[in-house]
Amino acid sequence: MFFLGGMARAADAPLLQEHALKALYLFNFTKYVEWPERGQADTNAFVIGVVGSPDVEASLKEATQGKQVGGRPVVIRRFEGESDPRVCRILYFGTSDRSLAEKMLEALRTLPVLTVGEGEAFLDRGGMVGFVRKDKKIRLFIGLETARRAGLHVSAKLLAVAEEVRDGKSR
Amino acid sequence: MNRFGQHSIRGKQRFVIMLTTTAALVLACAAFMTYDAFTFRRSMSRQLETLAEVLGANSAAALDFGDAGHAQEVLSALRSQRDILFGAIYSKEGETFAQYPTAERRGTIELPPGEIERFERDRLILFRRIEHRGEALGVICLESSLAPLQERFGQYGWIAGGVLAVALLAAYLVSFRLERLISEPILDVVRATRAVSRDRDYSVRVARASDDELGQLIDGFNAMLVQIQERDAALEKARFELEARVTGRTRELSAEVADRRRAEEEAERAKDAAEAANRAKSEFLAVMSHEIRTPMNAIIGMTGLLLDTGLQARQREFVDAVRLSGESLLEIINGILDFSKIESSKLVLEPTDFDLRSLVDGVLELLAPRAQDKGLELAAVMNSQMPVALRGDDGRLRQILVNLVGNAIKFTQRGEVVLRANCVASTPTEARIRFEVCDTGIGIAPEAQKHLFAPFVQADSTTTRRFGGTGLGLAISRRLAELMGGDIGVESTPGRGSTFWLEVVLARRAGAASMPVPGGLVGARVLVVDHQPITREGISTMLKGWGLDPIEAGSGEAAMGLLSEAIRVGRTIPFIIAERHLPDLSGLALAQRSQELAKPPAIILIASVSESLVACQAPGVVAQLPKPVKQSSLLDTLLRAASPSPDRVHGESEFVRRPVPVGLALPPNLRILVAEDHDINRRLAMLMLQKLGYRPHFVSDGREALEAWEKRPYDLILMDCQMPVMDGYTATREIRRREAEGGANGRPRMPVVALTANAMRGDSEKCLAAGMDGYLSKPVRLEELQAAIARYALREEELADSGLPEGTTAPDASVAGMAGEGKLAQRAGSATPHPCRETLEQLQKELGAEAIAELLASFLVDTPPRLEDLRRLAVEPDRSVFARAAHSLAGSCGIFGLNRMRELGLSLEKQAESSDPKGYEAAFAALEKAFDEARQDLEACRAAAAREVQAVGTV
Repeated sequence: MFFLGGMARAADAPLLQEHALKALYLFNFTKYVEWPERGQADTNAFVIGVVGSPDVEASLKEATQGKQVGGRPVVIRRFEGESDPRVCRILYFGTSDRSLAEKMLEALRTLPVLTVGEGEAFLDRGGMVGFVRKDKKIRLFIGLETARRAGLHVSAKLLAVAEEVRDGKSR
Repeated sequence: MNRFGQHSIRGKQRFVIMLTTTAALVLACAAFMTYDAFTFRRSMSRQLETLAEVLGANSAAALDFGDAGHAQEVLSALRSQRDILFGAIYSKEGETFAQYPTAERRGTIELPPGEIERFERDRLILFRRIEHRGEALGVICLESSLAPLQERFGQYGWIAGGVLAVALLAAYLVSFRLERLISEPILDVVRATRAVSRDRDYSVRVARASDDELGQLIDGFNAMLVQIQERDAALEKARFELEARVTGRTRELSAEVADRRRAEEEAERAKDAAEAANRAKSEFLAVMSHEIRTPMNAIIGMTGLLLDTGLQARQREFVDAVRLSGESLLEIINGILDFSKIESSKLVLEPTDFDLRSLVDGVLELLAPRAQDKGLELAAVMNSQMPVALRGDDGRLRQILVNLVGNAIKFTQRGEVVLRANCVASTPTEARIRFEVCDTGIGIAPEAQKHLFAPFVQADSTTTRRFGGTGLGLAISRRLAELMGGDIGVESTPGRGSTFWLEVVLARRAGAASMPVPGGLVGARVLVVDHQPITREGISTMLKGWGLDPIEAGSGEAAMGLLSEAIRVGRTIPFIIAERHLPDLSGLALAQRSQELAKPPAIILIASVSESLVACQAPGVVAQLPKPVKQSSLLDTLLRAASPSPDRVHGESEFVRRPVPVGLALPPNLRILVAEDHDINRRLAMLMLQKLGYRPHFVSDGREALEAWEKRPYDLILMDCQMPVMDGYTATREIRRREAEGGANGRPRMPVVALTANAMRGDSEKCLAAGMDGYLSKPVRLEELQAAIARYALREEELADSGLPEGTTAPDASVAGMAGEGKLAQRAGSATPHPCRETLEQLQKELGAEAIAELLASFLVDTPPRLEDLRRLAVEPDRSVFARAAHSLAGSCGIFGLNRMRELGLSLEKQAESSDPKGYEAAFAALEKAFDEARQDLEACRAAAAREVQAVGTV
């Protein structure tokens, strides 16, 4: 169990490509975030959506190959604006296309989808977790209030490792 | 274990209890501590595990998202855990992700397979997986110090020690209680045992405390004590009984001892009584012998006188028998007297100087007639080198030798009797002389030899009948030999003869040998011819001793052969000593033949005593010597024969010379005074002196003697000792006193010779003390009288002329009693050895029959009134008169050898002063009886003498 082959880990991050690390982080979020049963598309798969960034998508597919979360097989899906994102549980925004991102964020505002994007500013746009490159490491910025509104429960453990947590009150 | 064994049971018990307690406690503590350690360790690892879980959970996200800082923060929480030494979070690959403390950061480690926890020496190491939602994220490692555990152990150690100490103390206290249960009863037993063995008090009992084995032990011990006590009681009882028995037995024993002591005392008394009785017996014997000898003397004397009267052949035969019987009886009595004297230790040796050769010659001379009567060869062989100048009691020695040789002659029927003498040991002062008397007689059986020297024993009772004798002679000889420091013995083969030997120790006298070696004779050849080898040997030994050269010839023929040979070769034989009667040839024939020699030898014939009396007229015969040949005679003869002008003494032998020729050589005109109060004695002295050719002057008492001495000079005074008015002792003392005062007018010292009837030993001393020169014991013999005159009355030159050798007959040797009898035996060559016989014989010989007849007549007439006088005087107040009368009577009796009467008279004289006169009656009766018994004999004697006088007168 300890040595699960092919499993990427954050501790190995410096050795990994950035997109591979991000893909690992994305999958690790499934362990620290709980999704509500309601509001979910009745699909059997646990869908992780990727917008833009084919590298991350490829790494994700590679890292989650054959994996399940909550008894459901992990499916990676590419989103380009025309598909309904509500089917996703985690949606990564790797695109620089801000408008698309905002539009999609707007659409998902009250939906239980963990939205992950690049940079601190992503939180300001209504995103929930933002990757920030810092000291050759990828640090997490979590918009806790946004996540709560969307009905997501973020584990304290995740919060403990976050660089910054925005819960509205402290801000 | 040995040392353990030395401790008391109490100590052992405590030791056991403590050891057990300690062991139990230690085991319990160890188990408890082990369990606690285990539990503690488990809880420690569980805590550490929990801590690892918490830390791992908290660091899971950090691992997921590579947040090492966060993980470091998580680990820094360990700071609050004091015991955690080290903590680390590793990635799945073993790379250190975070570490506490941060120093010495470890690199990648080899992760252990799976979760483990491992205790090392000082720490607990724990590895735990970090998981999140079933996914392994990494490994957390924690290392915790074991100090708490050790600390806990230390605490436990202290606690355990304390518990142990407390428990031991408690156990020790408990053991006291236990001790009462177990050791106390045992110690009770021990104490009781000590008490028993110390005090011997078996009544001690040990109290029983329990029913267990100790109780049984105590029961057994008590039972044992009971048994011992009972046994003690039994022993005590037995001891008491034993003591009682011992006491009883001791009492019996002491009674027995007392009895025995009493018995011993009685035995001692009995022994004393027996010894006294024995002494009394010996004394009685001595007295009795003496008493018996008196009548015996009369018998023998009278028969002797009788024989001199004209008797028919038949009468002579009877009288001879009487005389011989009397002589044997007297010999027996003499023996008894000697023996009893020895037994009562009254016999004392009287040593004098003597010459052994003369002694031996004397013995042989004495016994030669008897030997020749029986046809026996009698010879003496003396070693010529032996000492002969000796000092000892020659009389006793002669007595022994006479006895031995006499016995040998008595018991030898044919053959020879040889007396040999030799010196077996010698020092300058003493010589041990051995005599051997060998005979060829009947011999003595060995069993008889043993008793031979015991008194009253003869070799065979039959021999007593055959030969007579008491057998006392040898017993006496043995005692005498022992007195002389020697011994006596016998070697004998029955039928072959006997050899009696005698050894005595005699003192040697300094000075020349009594036999001077004749220088002229040395080397001279002497032909000794005798058919008896022993005679030849005896003579040859003598000759060799003088340095002559004897040649022996055993027969006349052999002698003739030797002579012829000598004639042929012209050898000189200066002397021939030949037996007169050789079996084959007469000695005379030999003498004649020898005259054919160039130088005719001097011939000495030897012959028996009787033959020697017959003169032998033959050429060349110079002398004829009686057998056995005396050395002195032989030497004399040889010397005379060898002298230049041989004074041939044909036919004259030494033997035929009378020892004392009567009337010879005494000067005729001596003036002799005799002081004697009694008629018969006076008469006797008169007769004797007349016989000697003198006319004596008589006085009756000492005073008269003194007066006579004052008035006239005398050559000799014969002084009776017991006289009225003044006795002889007083008179002599007075003479000596006056002589000393010069009252004797310058005359020479007056010779005084005592006449005494007391044959007592002390008399001689008494006489000498009174100043007398010698003494004669009554009855006086003519011979003795003559000798006394010669010795005391003659001056030196007269003595030399008299022809009497000095001291030939010393008066003191003639003291009456034993010594006198011994002398008799020596002198008995031709006469009988009986004193009484000699008395009468001598009297008759000396004084003539007429005098005897007269004396006897006078005595026979005088005596009865004197006895009556005695009876009368016994009651008179003047005791001295009575004493003198008794003494006088005794003296008269002594003249005739009436010794019994003489003794009675003397005893009356002694009793006169002290005893009760009534006691005399027995003595008077005895005197009268003795006189009556003697009277007839005396009368017969007188008659015989008278007849002889008449016969002589008629012839």
